Amino acid sequence: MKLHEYQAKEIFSKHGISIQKGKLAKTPQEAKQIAAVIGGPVVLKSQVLVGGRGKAGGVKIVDDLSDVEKVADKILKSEIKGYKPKGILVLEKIEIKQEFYLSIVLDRKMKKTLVIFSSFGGMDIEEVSKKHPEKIAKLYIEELLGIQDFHINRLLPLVDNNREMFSKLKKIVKTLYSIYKKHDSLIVEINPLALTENGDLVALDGKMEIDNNATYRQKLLSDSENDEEDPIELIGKKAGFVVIKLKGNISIISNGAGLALSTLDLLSKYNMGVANILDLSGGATPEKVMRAIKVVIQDKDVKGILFNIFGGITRCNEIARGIAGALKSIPEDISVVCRLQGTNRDEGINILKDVNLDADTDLEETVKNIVSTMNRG
Amino acid sequence: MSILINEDTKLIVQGITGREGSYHASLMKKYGTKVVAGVTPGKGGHKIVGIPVFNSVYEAMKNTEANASILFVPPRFTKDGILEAIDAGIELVVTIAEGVPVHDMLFAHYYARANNCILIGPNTPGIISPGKSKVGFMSDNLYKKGNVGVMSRSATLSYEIVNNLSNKGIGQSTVIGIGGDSIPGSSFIDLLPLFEKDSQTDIIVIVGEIGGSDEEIAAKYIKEHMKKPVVAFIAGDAAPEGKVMGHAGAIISPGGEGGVKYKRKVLEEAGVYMIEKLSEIAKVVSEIL
Repeated sequence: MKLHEYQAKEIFSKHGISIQKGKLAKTPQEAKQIAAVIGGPVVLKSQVLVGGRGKAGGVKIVDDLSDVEKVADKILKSEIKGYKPKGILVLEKIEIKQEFYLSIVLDRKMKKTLVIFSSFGGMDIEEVSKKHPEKIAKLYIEELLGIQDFHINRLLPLVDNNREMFSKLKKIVKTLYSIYKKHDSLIVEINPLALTENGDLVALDGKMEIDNNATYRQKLLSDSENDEEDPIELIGKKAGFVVIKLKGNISIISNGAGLALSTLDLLSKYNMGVANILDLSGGATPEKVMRAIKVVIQDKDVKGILFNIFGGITRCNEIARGIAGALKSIPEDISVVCRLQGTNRDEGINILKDVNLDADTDLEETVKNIVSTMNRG
Repeated sequence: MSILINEDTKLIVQGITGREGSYHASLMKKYGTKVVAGVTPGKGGHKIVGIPVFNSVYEAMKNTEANASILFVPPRFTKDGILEAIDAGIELVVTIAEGVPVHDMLFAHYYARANNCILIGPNTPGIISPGKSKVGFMSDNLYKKGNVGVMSRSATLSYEIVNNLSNKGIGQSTVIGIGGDSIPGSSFIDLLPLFEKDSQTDIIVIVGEIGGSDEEIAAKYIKEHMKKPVVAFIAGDAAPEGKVMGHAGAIISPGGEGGVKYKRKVLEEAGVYMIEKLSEIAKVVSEIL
């Protein structure tokens, strides 16, 4: 789950990392009031969970406070890459001497935590990585060791051995690492981390992504503020499923991500588009299957449902009971094909036979079946 | 021989009093696995399908000669359960749960390594050495004893591969679910050397999928160290590119790493036989053998 800038900054601030004065506004009037309290030039930042916000017009500097309401109204009404802003962060404008980049990320390949620091912040870090590799430091942190002073000391040359500033930076790196761990993060990023005229380090932006498997112990945030999914993905999520929205008109309901992926691959070999994929995951009950069907038929693109079940911990008879139970609720113009294999396959096939549904045991046959059904209809 | 588990494996089932724990403990026992103990805190002294239940892994270890453990516990208790098993001296831990927090797994991964414990999972169907022992929940009638070693990130795709092999009379030495999570306890590269050494295994099948770098890392190892033939299938050809958060992701994996085409390319370059469709597996394997 991605966090908005204002949410990430709230966490930063709570742990002692400096941020600009300011607040989240939900309306242009609120933005005006907040700007009045700040009392000087302000920065208005659209709160959306997509990158490239600045280039898309979602960040504006307003010098004249009487313009705030008008500019805020425009930002609030502007979608960025198809996403509506959740509000505007109204911040004091501060003078910047230098911009740094700092992030902490879980490197899946190395199975380690990676701290990335650059003395060239603010701009695209990919660009810095290509053009000025010497301006970037990457520190790999061993899990059982955790972050130590000696790791961070390697950043000293990048700040021209300025010890006074380095001691502030060291504190921020350590704090950010503890935030990363405490909040089950996949990434925490400050870009830019600004050095002000007074010599302070201030987080001018904040990005965080929380591990979806750990949201149960990260109750600080309400989910609805952080939805970025397609409507059907959201309906799925609320019903307890991972749904992926794609382009096409077949819905794949499967009992595993790998199986769903290979079904998608196979359908695309027959030039059939997939409307969505729903993963039942292991051990689904009939009720869960019925809930899944209810989700995918809300996707108006769906003209066919392909069940691909290879039972292990999932029992085919339970799946079949769910399909049989929901069959009446499926609109007539949606065709249903089933492939059952593995645990309790034959019981499952018999249950479906009783409701006049033929189930195949072979995946390719099932795919050919839905292809011919759809092309006919 | 087979790898990781065989007829001498003595198994503890952590979470044996739960719905899935008790059901699969009885199925594993029926298959022939030596299930010597179950563990559920507070339920010590009971018996489940004839298996004695203890309050802790320590207690179970004191009273049995267990050397492996499987966890049927919810994701939020998984880290604690893994660490308990490792701390008690278990050499092989298999964890089933789907949805374990990634930072929990990161710690468990390294703690297992530091203690010479092989950790398999999470989000795995387990391990089976057909005809000898099953430590997991897979539908065991699909499997047949033989000389093909199988490793898969996806549970369902491993069933698919095994079903195709067995139907054509090709058996397996050991089939392992690596698990679908981003930080698995063990990856392809950890198990390849075991298959290479195993006298029962003549050929290895790797079932990978889009994302991560486990296949790429395995390719390098295969090229440099493996003498036995390797066949691979990678799922996710038609999957759209995932959304990447922040800029850090782009720095870590340049050059299309993680994509299906890239994985196929590096595996092919390492001398791996690639199959395009799951149904081709039996044909390709029998041609090589």
